[in-house]
Amino acid sequence: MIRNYLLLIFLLTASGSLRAADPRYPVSAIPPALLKNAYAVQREELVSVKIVDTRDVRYVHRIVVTVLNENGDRFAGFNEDYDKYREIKDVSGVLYDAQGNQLRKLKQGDVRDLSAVSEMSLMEDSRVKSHNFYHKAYPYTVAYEVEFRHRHTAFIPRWVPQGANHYSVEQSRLEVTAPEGYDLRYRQFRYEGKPAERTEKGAIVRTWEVRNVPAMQPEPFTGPLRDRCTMVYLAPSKFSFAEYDGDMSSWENFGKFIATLNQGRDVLPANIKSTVATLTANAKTDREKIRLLYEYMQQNTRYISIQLGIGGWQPFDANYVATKGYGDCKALSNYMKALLSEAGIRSHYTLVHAGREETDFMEDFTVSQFNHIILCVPGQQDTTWLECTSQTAPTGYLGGFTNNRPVLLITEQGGKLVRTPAYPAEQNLQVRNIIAEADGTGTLKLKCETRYTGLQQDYYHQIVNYDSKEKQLEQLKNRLKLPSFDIGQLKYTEHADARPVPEMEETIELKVPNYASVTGKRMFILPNILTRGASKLSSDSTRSSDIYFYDPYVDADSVLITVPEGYTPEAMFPEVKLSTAFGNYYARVTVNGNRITYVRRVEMKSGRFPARDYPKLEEFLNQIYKSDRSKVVLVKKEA
Amino acid sequence: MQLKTVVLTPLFLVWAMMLAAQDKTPVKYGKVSPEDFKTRYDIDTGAAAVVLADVGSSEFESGRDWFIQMYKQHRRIHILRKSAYEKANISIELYMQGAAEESLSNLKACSYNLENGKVVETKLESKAVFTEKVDRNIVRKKFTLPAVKEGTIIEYSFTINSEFPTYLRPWAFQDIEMPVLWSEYEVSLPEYYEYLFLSQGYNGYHIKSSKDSRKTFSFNMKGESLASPSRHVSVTPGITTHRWVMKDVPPLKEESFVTTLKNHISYIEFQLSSIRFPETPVRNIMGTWPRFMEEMGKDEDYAGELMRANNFLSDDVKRLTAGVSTAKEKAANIFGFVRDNYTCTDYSAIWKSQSLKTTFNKKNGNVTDINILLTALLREAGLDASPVLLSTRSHGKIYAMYPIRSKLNYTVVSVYAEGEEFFLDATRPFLGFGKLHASCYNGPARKVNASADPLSFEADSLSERSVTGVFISPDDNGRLSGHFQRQYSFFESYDARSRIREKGQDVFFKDLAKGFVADIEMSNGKLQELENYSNQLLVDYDFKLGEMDESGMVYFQPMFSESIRSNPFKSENRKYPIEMPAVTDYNYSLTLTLPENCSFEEIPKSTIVKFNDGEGIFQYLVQQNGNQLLMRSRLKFNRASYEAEEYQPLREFFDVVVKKHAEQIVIKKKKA
Repeated sequence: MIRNYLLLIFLLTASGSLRAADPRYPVSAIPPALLKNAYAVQREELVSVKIVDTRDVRYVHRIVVTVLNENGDRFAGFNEDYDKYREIKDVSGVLYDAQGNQLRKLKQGDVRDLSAVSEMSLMEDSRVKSHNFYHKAYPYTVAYEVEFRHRHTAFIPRWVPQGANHYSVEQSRLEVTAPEGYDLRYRQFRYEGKPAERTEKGAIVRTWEVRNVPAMQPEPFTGPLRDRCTMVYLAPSKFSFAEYDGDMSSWENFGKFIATLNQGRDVLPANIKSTVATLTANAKTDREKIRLLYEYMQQNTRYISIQLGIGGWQPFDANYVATKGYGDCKALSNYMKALLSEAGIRSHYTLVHAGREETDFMEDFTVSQFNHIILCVPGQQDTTWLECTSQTAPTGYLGGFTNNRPVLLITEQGGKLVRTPAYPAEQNLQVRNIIAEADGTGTLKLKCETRYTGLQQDYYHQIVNYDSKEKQLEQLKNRLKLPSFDIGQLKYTEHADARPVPEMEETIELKVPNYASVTGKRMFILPNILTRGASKLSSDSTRSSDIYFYDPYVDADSVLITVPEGYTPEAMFPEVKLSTAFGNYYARVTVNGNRITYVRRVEMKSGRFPARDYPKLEEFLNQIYKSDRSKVVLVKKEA
Repeated sequence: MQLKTVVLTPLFLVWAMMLAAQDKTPVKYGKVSPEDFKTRYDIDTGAAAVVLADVGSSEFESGRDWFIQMYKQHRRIHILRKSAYEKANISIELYMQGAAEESLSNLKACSYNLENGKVVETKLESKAVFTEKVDRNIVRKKFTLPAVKEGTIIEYSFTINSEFPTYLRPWAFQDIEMPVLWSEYEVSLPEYYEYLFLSQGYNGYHIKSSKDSRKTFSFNMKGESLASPSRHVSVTPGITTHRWVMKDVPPLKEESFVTTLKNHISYIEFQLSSIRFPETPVRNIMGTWPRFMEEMGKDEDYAGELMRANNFLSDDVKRLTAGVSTAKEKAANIFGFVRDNYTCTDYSAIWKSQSLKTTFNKKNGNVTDINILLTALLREAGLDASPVLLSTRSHGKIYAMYPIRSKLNYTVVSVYAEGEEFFLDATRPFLGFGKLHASCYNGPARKVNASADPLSFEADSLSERSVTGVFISPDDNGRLSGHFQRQYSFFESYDARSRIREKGQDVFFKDLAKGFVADIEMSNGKLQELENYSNQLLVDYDFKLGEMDESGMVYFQPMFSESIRSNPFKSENRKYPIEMPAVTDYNYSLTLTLPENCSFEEIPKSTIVKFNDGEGIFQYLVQQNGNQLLMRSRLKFNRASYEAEEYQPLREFFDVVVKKHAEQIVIKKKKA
């Protein structure tokens, strides 16, 4: 009897909930402007952040997305990291059809729970939960609600209502609650006006909201996301992580927090202390000592990343690195600092946002924007920067990974923002000389000598030091845009100590069958053999975001091709000389007897250029593309 | 001598006892002397690291209530360059399922550095070993060796006790990056268990031996029921210990056109074939294909659910087959429904991951889940449908003769309609009815039915034919304009459809215009058969060529976008076969008419080149009639697979094609 009764209740509730599920989010309700260029439409979003105290933040993310076609599937799932300090308390999800009828609900058993140890780490404690309805009848709508509890305030979620191309937003709201008297700071981008503020039970609630944001189209050479769409960053003043408390209201105070984490972790074991003394005994200058100790560190350690709990912020101590011979960027930089200190040289542990071309940084808003540590050794004349995770970097050279950007020095007085060095165009060279000979069948034999400097040698430094000879050959094969070839020689000579930036010399010998095409009495030959501009640009719509070029450089080529006697030029392309705000280009070909000489020089500048100048950039790059592919036509004189 | 073919040696053909006393394992854990720190190894002078020894063994041991499997490994690596530092990061995977699990024990690891002529040891601390729970079934033990520099020798050894008693771990004698100086595997088998040994590769054994002995096992076997007590059992079977050693094995590196290196690396694996306990009848584990398929047909984790009525499918089947008369149409509707509504989350799975009903409702599953669902729906409609088991190209070859479960990883479906058999795969979004994906063309396959019908999907039987026609003539203003039409091959059609869906038709045509070689203005782009996945895609467009320049000369490559611009065979030599995905046949024709005021100054010459006595043919035919030029290019092969010895001629053949395709036509304006 009881059983039947329970069954009855179950049936009632089941049918009740079915009835309750009236259609929601029908596709027909989407404003037409939001469908343009969109693969998916965000119907609703709520990002709710409630700071209870510095070790308790309740974060709720509710999102409703209509997926319009297959390309929108990537916006359909749920995928979130968690760890000891970021718990996922609850996940719910519902799937609706185009009319808004509820089709299915997320079952807890369908949520996948996987390790999230990244490729570059040996160990981390982060895991990931993910779910997908894998629906294929388009359009359809998914709604997810995820509740988190953060047990720290070092990072507070940011609000990025759009954040992707082909994704429009009907509505999104950020709601942040913080106790009255708590200095919660924020910085908004591409947002008109101020947040609405109200007081509620002793707390201040601020809300931001956007509506009807059309989809963005992908554009080349864009800057950071905050340059293109609305974002709000949140930052704490007083904050906590694990058992540590800190203050992020200024760079100075944030630096003091880092200094506290590092305190007392720089004690070297006795044997290393005596090694330092021995190594530096005969060194005359600080510069020499820095080099000796840096090279010692490079030879005796390697990069191993282990990020567990507070270990994501706090370095393993110097003794750990000394005995195990490894560490991550924090541990190795801290170790190097200890080595220098033992030799009487002062240095600063330095926080940086690393990444090629990731130089944009909010200097006037103190929030942790960092993902890497380097070391700064101030000198009387010049400052030396050390990348401690590389076993091969020349002393004092940072390269494209950390150059030209604001970084936070941890000094005795707290944090201090300074900039890492920028490498100007004339230090980032690719200077190439080719001497080639074409035979009567069109086969070309050539010797190519190239000197790469500064940022242009970074890639070659990497492959020379970390890749096998076979891999180097394989990479060369992939780089060569030639129909068919045999590589006779590939040789690299590194000049790591070259000043002001390191250099790499490359020598290649190639045999290229069919390089010149020979048809009857004519020979067609492309004098730009190895340095052709990458691609054509084409655009239909008006450029909407500013154009960014990060690293300036110069490519200079000179090519000498000898062809068999008897050929005379029939068609040659004219000299090309372009001068624009983005850079300059020059190319010229001359024929003298049976010798073709080609010279080319490209200089690309760095900077931010207004979106309206895009057609000029397009014209510039397309002219280069064309010029780089212009052939010389030779004709054999009748005997 | 090279071992080319797979050697299958059933255990019952045991070799006579002939244990050689020489050739002992050359390394012992912890014994490293200064002489071991060589600075170069002749086998590969450029190696970044060398495996000095890799020694493993598998043997049966007494577990609590049954046999367990004990696997031991000891590996020693000499790290010579920084680029090999990652070889000091070790990850050991342990598997668990239900109550059975694998556990790691006796793990030790040590680094050796030569300092001032002395060997300095740095041991791994036990707390530096991490445990990563990857998912429900896999745990990873991870550690890195301390004190690793250029020149460090590292070694580690461990034991895995496995509660999967009859699963013998396979052994790779060869590495894909490092040379291996000594690789040794020893397997001890009690007479109760018979295994097939499957070995492959191009390196011969330095030692291959076996010896007999006896060993006593004892365990407390569980009682028949919960109430009955467990009983102590002790047995002393005969044991045969097999030992295989390879010496100085060079690494096998990946190159283009290979199904998978798994097919070529020197490797041995084991398949349990029968169990013979004393006084019980012999139990054949691996019998014949029909018996294997009978079991798969009944297995709840494979096709078992197909034997029952699956009424929950009937509404959909009725809807999909309403008003349809022929079996083929019924099958096509059902196939389209599954393909267009279900998502495949794993393209390599022999077992279903969930019940048929769950797959039906959740709308996703692995390849076997989805194609078993397709079979169920087809049967619900009264059609004669069966699952077909195969191995995809990247999973490696299967042995036509032996039904080995681990060799199979993919299910497709056979269905008969009006007496004709069709093979279906509903897991790929753009596959048409009766078509299989390129990855399925990997040789033998078997149907899951009583007779386990043998099937074959050979790349050699799969023709990939494309046909392109280009017509160019002057427009009213005397400017050369043309029409381009191309029928894509099946695989090309598949790729083009997915590109079109991803990027849209506009971008697709724009990319075509960019790839045309000559600068053109494109218009009237049309796609035929875009939605009809069973047919080849047909692409059409009009174009205008650029104006003539001042010089009065025009040059262009008559193959335009269809020229083969680079030789696919970039390496100078090859050590293993070339395995192309299909037999290709590319056809191109051009009809070019010039305006009255122009003439041909130069045209390419006709050529016919044959590869290997006609197994490959390249025709390049040009014919001029006054102001009109007809040109044809055909590149055709009769085979998809080639031996390593055929690499050079094949590469040279392609060189000719590339050269001919790059030749130009020269057009000259007549003087007024």
